[in-house]
Amino acid sequence: MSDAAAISLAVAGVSKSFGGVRALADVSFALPGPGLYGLIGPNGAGKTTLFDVIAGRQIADAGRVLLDGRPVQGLRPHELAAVGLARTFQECRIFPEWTCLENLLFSLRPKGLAGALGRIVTRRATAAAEAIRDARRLLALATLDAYADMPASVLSFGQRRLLEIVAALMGRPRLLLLDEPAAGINPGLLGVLADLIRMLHAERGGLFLIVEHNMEFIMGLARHIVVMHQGAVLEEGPPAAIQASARVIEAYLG
Amino acid sequence: MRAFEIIGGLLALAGLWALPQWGELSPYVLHIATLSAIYAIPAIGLNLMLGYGGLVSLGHAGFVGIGGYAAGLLMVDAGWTFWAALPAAMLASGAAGALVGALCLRLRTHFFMIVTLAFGLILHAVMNNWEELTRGPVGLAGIPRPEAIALFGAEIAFRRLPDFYRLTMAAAMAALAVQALIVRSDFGRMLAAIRQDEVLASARGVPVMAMKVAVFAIGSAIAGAGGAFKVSFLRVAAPASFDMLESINIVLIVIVGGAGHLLGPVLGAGLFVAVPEALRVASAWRLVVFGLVLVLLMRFAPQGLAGLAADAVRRLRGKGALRAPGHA
Repeated sequence: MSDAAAISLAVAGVSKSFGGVRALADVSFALPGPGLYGLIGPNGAGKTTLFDVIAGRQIADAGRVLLDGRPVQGLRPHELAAVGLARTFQECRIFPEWTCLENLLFSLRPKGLAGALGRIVTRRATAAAEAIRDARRLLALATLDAYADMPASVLSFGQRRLLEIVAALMGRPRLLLLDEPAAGINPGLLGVLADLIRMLHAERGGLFLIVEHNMEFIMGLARHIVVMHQGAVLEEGPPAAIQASARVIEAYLG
Repeated sequence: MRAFEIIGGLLALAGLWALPQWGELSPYVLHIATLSAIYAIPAIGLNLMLGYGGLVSLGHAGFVGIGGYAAGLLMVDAGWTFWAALPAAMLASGAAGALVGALCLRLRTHFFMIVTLAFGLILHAVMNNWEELTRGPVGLAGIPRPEAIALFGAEIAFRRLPDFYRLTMAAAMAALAVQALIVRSDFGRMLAAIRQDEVLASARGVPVMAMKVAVFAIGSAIAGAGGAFKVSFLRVAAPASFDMLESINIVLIVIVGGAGHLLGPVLGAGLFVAVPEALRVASAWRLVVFGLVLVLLMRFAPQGLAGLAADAVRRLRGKGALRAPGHA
């Protein structure tokens, strides 16, 4: 585990426009250490754009993203993965042809092109027994152990979401971005999902930033919440303070 | 059960190796078998790109042509031996593949297909019209067969068909072995990840662009080897051997054989070359027959011949078809 204990994420003055639409206008906040953080806001608040900027899918027009105080804006997704960032997707992405176990083990493999070419003759892409044990344990935590050796395409949507989360964590990221983990999940399973995220965070450490629409879900999970509205940060603080904030209530109702 | 496969494979190899000794066989059959092996090589290159990496290139014959012309010119004009010209041909087409890949792999699937089609047409036009270098539409004649080599004291003379046949068989096997090594490596896993979900692969750390350029270069280099064998077999390099129809043929070979299966390109090439010949349907009807087979296969066995074979083996072993298709 590479220093999940010392991780910080800061966004400083990030702006992004699409044509004439200002999706992000001078967004700044700092998440100083490991923990479960929430990012919420009404539809169109700019959450997904900000997420994509942090994850390297979009390039900001201005501003900086700092990981451990070092600027990482402009790095491409695979370069961000190399410095310890992992993410899940709102639309939920897994490798459907691979078994659940293979989905997890792939996160651990080295990804350098030159190294991979060099190892073509010498070694097959097999995993260490210890890694396989770890992967099976994570699958058990996600209640997917019965599907470990089945192709991921047989899973239901909710199960895919669980698989996506444990597969992202398998690579021991220091920063994990979860994009609406509760979206499309059967309400009866939300408790299981929240417990899983809490348990995985307790075990693996690191900074989890969770974009979420489901208020009840995120209020029970995160210890600190950033609220966005119209492309800017409206409020931040612990869940209780956010729920009591008149500005937040107005933004959601107004 | 692994042993069963290995023994079966060795028996098939021994049978193919001994093909020239099967007495009754006419040189015609050997000719067909040689041509199948020669088609299988570029198809293996395309299978890496299309079957494993998900990159549909409609200009593959252009890269076969670069290898063919490079080998032919080096042998005819510069007096190189086939053995020196072969790696040079692979290098030339591999470099061309890397260049074209770096230029157009940023485009998404169907745009990429169109651009590869255009590159194939451009390369064909160059072969046709750059007469000082390529000799134009009549082609570059007088390309020799590979020089004889001495092996364990016995001379192997490749100008004779049985020995040339064995050489192309060995080359196709070598290409198969390279393909298998790549598919089983981390490189191959990353390719499969890109084919399944490019965005996710990138988020997991796969350098998607560099991987695509690399597999385009490798696939093109293998195509170039096929080109060198082809012109040495036909004794001439002509633009008509590397036109758009030929590119489509290679794509069909890969798909009918079973894209993303190790043996797919070999089965596809065998079917493409041998079956219409065996049916004595003249070349004019070959595409009609092949088109019909394609339609039937896509309807009843979308995983191609290799997929059919894999299903049959699974059924014989009594295992359910639980594993996802597409895994060789």
